Amino acid sequence: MRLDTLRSKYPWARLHELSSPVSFDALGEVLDEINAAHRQSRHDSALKASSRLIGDSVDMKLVRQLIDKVASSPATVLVTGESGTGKEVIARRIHELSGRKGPFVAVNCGAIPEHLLESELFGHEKGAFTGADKARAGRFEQASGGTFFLDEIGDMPSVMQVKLLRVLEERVVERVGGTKSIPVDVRLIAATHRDLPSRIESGDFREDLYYRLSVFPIDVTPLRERPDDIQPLIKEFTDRLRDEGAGNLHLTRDAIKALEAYTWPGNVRELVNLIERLVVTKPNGVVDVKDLPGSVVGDAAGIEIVDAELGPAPDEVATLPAEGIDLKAYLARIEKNLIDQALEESNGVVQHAAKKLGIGRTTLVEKMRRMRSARLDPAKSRSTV
Amino acid sequence: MILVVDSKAAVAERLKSMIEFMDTPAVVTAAPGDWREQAEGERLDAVFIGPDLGDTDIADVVNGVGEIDPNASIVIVDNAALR
Repeated sequence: MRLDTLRSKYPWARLHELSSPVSFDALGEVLDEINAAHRQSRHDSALKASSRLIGDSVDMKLVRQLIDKVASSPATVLVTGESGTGKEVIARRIHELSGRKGPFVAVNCGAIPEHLLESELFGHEKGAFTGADKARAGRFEQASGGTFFLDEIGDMPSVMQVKLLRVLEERVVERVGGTKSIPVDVRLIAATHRDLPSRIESGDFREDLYYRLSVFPIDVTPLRERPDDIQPLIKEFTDRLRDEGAGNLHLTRDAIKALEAYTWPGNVRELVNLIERLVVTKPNGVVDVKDLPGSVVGDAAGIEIVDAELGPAPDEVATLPAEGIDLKAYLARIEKNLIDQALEESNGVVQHAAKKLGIGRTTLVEKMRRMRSARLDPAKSRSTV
Repeated sequence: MILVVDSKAAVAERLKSMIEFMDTPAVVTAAPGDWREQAEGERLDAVFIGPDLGDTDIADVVNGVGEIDPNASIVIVDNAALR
């Protein structure tokens, strides 16, 4: 059996490969990938943990009203909005209120390779392709009596769009390698962060499928356009983390103001990510503006940022002050700031951060170790960092 | 927890030491026949499948990991069955 066969047999599996003899560099890369993937799933589960829609803004009230209206009907729903706005939370909420007894089954069309998507959605018969040693029901069949959530529908390959259209029109699926039409009773909810009308214009999305899907459209406003929702969201996530025993976080008014002024390109997912990081860096602590990442507070106009711990940022000191400086400590601060930024921009993947900094992975790991031991021993920090 | 599975204890231990050297704690080794026992009830971050699983089918291990935690990563180290 080859790795490709394993991948087709178990498309859900997060498979990695290492050649023997195992090198530290290759092992490090795999461990970084594993850590990054786990961080992502923890954020995703935090987002999905509650189907409660948080927020008091006019936009969120409207979304809640739309959900209440459509939930009990069998209508297909198309949820649109930027990545991280909580489209799956909306889909789950609709399912919960629908009264449908079957399961909620979610598939991300963008995450499954094109050649595996058909088998994943519609299932396959025994012997349909190499490795298909037994028949398997697809996700549509698994969602029978419940709700099928197709995420990132805008990324669905054209061939699959035709097949999906047929399912929506005839309410039957045909397994790969099969000849029998299997009736399916599913409520379909699709979602995308893409602009489908422009994908139709460019020929990447079928117009007939778009009209089939957008029977009841719900558009989720990006977080930056509803700053009123930031505070309730922070409360929800900090409460949730406190209940899980992860730590009790309190944000000052200035910190909340800074977060309300930020543009949140990653939307609610980015906010969850930040709160989780703050719980780690400031467990049971008070978070002020100075504790927030530079990339976040940089957007907050009119908020004075004073970083007492790190001192002035390098750009602010163009000339040598009359009283002089501790050059070693000053350069160490610059180094630490740049490493922190690189790690943050690389989602903690050391290999990528090292590339951004133009140094080897091993060098970066060594620098991180020295910084860590300096933090544990302040006396050491003066001499070694 | 990270689990390293190989029928040769020395190979599994060596891989365990390398993973621990990379600042990753909680690494446990297991023989192919015992891996399930070690993994069940634990928060499984990853399973490293070593080069030699003896009579155990690699597909059964992959499938079994999915049954315990589909989010766990599976790292296949130059496994003989895939060559």
